Amino acid sequence: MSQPANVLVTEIDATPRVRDALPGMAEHSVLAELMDLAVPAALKPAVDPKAYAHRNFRDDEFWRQIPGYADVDRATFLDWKFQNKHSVTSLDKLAAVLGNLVSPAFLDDVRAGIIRAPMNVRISPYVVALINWADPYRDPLRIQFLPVASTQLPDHPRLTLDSLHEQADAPTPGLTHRYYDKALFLPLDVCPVYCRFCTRSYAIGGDTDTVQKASLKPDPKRWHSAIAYIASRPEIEDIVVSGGDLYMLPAKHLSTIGHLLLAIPHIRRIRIATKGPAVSPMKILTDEAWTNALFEVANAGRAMGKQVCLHTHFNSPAEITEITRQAMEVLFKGGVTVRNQTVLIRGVNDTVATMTELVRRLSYMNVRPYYVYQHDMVSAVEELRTTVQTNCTIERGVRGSTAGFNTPLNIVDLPGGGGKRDIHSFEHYDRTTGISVYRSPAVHAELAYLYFDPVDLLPKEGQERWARPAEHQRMIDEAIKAAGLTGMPLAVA
Amino acid sequence: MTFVVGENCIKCKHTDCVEVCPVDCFYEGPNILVINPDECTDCALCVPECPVNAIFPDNELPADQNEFLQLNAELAAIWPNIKKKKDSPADAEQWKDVPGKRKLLER
Repeated sequence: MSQPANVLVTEIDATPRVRDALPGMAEHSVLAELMDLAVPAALKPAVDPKAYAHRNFRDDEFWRQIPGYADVDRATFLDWKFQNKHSVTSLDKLAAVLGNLVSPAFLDDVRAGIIRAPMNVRISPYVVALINWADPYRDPLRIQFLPVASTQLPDHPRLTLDSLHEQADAPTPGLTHRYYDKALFLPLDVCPVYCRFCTRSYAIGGDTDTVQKASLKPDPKRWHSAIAYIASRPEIEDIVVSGGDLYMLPAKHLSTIGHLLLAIPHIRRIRIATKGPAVSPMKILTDEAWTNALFEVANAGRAMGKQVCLHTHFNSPAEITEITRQAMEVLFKGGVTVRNQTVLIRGVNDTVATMTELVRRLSYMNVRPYYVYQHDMVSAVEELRTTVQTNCTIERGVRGSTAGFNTPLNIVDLPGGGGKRDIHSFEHYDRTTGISVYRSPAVHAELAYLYFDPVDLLPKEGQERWARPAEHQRMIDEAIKAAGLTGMPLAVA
Repeated sequence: MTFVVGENCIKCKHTDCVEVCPVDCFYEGPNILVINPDECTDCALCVPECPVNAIFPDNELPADQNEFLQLNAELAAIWPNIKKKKDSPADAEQWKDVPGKRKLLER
């Protein structure tokens, strides 16, 4: 009888069944009855498993390779207060944690970089541990959080500190009302980490050697003033609560602010903005008071027919681990929608391949990729900016790689307060001078807005013209004329 | 920059501040708390919590309390960390805003 049995096996192998596609699930409560079903013949070749490597979330004790964290057990590393308390805030602390992982020359480069930076250094142990210190110059996390002098470039000649003009649109400190139906509320000015490229370096993260900051300290009196303004403007339906970072706000304040906003009849949507999940995802898992306050506000909103969402800020697939996946799952199961806003950063995510992987990883965790921002024109981080053309190329390459609702909008937040515009929507774009001209009819119909590519990425002719100050206004005039907007006033960037 | 616990905490020590500190940087002495300047994130969350307004940013510390900048750093290094609020001393209310408490600071 052995021969016929062999024949039988060969026949089953020849016709793929559901059981072959789903090994180990033969007894599954729902799928069991389908196990013998033949799989329809594929029209596409089989996919290399590498194509879905975005589903592999690292779950090793990666922090133990850092000398300063070698003896830190998992429970301690996952404690959100450990992350806060042991954040690296100075070169001395960094050197102590890294020990012999980096060279003295690298540390000297960091020391010189910090002096020129508009942001203080603050890096969570989670991020420190994910950086590849064997090659720190090319590491996407090092690039975002730790300045080095050797890669710095001069600022663009047209750059200002508060390029988005948030302070000009603020009726009371920490409350920006620019768009018709939306306001930005900044309850505090500290974050769990400080991004080098912070667009609010005019206020966030304390004074540095180069910048004296506006103060947005957490103060219930200031919050009440912002609430009073919001209450007085019935057209406002949407509130973004940012900072600073709501991750740093104790649960009771998160709850108080959430309920005050929900109680205003015309407020329909609250977005809580936090970098936290990207840099300290364990807080969602271990700061139960905070996570519960978030759920409680979101549930109260839902009961009133109002939306409470979390907006976060992942920039690199390397920031995402199994800890992140678990944290995002807690939020998803708790019914909180999470959307992501990425900043396009040179050397971090400025290729189609990296951005596609990021989008797929976020989608896999039920985090909706919402925006990819053109890097704002921020001081002392010129080497992080890239061209409008790069953003356009990434948009074309990513769109179509996954479902449309998981495909980000690639935008530029216009210098001078024009708001966010589709990156492709320029009236004119001169790739030699790097000047793009935009309009924002719903914000300021009467103004033209300019974005300037970093000079070092321009063709030689463009670089030479920017080297001559007398050419600057001429290049701008040319761009305005080519856009057909001669005579239109420019937003002052 | 750092925040500094000043003179008015002495013998009041309500400890509301420790509940909101995101980095647990308060340290406890017999009759005053201090802030470890090396751990403070300058978030200012503790300032409005203090019932006796004893906490200041270092650049707004009243001139006659300048020595508290050094005292906070020095005592935080030797006193135990405090993470949870405790009951206030029974006589805390009568010591509020009493001038000249500096000499009563116990180590």
